[in-house]
Amino acid sequence: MKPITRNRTTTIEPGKTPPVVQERTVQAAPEKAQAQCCAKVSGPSMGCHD
Amino acid sequence: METPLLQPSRHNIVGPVRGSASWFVVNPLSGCADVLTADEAAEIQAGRPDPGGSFAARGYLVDPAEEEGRYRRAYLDFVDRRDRDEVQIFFAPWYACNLGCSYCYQGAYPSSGGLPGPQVLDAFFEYVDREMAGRRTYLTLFGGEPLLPGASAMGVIEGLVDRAAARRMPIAVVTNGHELARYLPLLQRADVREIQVTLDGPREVHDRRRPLKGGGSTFDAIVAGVDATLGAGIPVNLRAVVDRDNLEDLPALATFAIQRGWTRNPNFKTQLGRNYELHECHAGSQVLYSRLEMYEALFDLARRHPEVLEFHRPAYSISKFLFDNGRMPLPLFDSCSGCKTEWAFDHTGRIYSCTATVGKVGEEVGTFWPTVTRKDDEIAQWQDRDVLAIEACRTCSSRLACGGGCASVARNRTGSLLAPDCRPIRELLELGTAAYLPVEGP
Ligand code: SF4
Ligand code: SF4
Repeated sequence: MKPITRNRTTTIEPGKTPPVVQERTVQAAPEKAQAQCCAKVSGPSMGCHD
Repeated sequence: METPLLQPSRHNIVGPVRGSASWFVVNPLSGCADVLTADEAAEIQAGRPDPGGSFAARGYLVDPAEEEGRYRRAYLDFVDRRDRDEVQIFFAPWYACNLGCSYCYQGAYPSSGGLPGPQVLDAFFEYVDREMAGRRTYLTLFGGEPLLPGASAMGVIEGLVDRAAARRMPIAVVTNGHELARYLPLLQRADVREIQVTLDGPREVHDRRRPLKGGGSTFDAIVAGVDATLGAGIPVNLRAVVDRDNLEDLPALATFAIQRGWTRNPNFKTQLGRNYELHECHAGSQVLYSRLEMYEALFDLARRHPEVLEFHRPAYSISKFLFDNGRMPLPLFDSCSGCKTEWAFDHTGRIYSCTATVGKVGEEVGTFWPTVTRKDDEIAQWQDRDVLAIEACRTCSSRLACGGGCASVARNRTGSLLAPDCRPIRELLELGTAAYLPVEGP
């Protein structure tokens, strides 16, 4: 398994929230999950259709 | 305490990398993505932990109760972010256009009705001032074609630009670009965030698809508008509307943009719009691609003509984001901005959810002029639509990458807003991982 995301791989106890995940949920990232939602995030467009 | 039994995450998206022996797994909830061997992919899908425990550490194998908690927290984060997000406000001063594009989805929209007077513009801005108080907003001029020739049309645009500038509200414009150079000094009275212009190919192809009404070339005037806009330091979002008739002409358009110096300008970006049937079909439907077909064709085209990638790097769902940033986008519980972070208004005083519905008879959700009215039930339906509200989406493993698709498309298809508009997420990732995965060194 080779990571694409640069998150560190950390072994965790089953049943506990993985640390990488905790890190993500507490941080409100400044930009939106914009890869595929309404492309209007990148400016005016009808991009939500693609 | 008893160790809970680990199961495959309900958010794993697993598939083969196109044309390779490798597989991928992405998990929009844990935020992890990995390249796998076929055996590892099979083990994850069967729920068998690996000896090092990394399947669990990356959130591919989970305790379902723990994952459910994380899902809920991520949802609250999403709603919270959206509530603080900027609102894009479209205004269509008319539905008239100076071009006669072969595939226009607004072809059946009424184009008359007169120009909006100052009282309509005032009512519009008063509504926005009041209803969006405390939110960051920006105004996008839309149509029809907002930048029409003639002094009276320009007078209306001037009224909109000056009122936006007075509020320090940034503006954007969606235009065919034909009159753009002429309008540029006026637009610059406000903070122009971006101008979207459409070119459908090199001159001959573009002019065939997007001629003036009654005939006549538009290519050179649009190119002059793009040059002038970039020259003024204003971002241009160049859009090409793609179907089977012009896809093979993209390399020529790419070469044109490269030679013109556009692609080296940091203010230049591109998007490909798929030509498709929104409300009814105006192009012959045999030339239209499905979403997946278009990406398949682009994938193949980029292999044959790598210069296309210098002009436009296709998203392949979240693939481009993933490889450009080395991380996953945040979980997308809702991909439709209508009545949430987007509203559309027109010159008749009607209010709509978004650009898909603006101007469509009977789809207004209220009015801002001559009186203010709101269809609250309808607005609530738009606002409630997300992957938790749409039954089919609730158990879909792609839901946090798809977000339930377009509400307008879903309603046109099924009659209900609370229906899915599915995106072929896994298939797009199969292409996108193949397109963007760095080639292995020796
Ligand atoms: S209905 Fe479609 S076009 Fe309108 S905001 Fe939603 S996704 Fe975008
Ligand atoms: S719209 Fe379809 S693909 Fe998208 S989340 Fe819903 S069920 Fe899944």
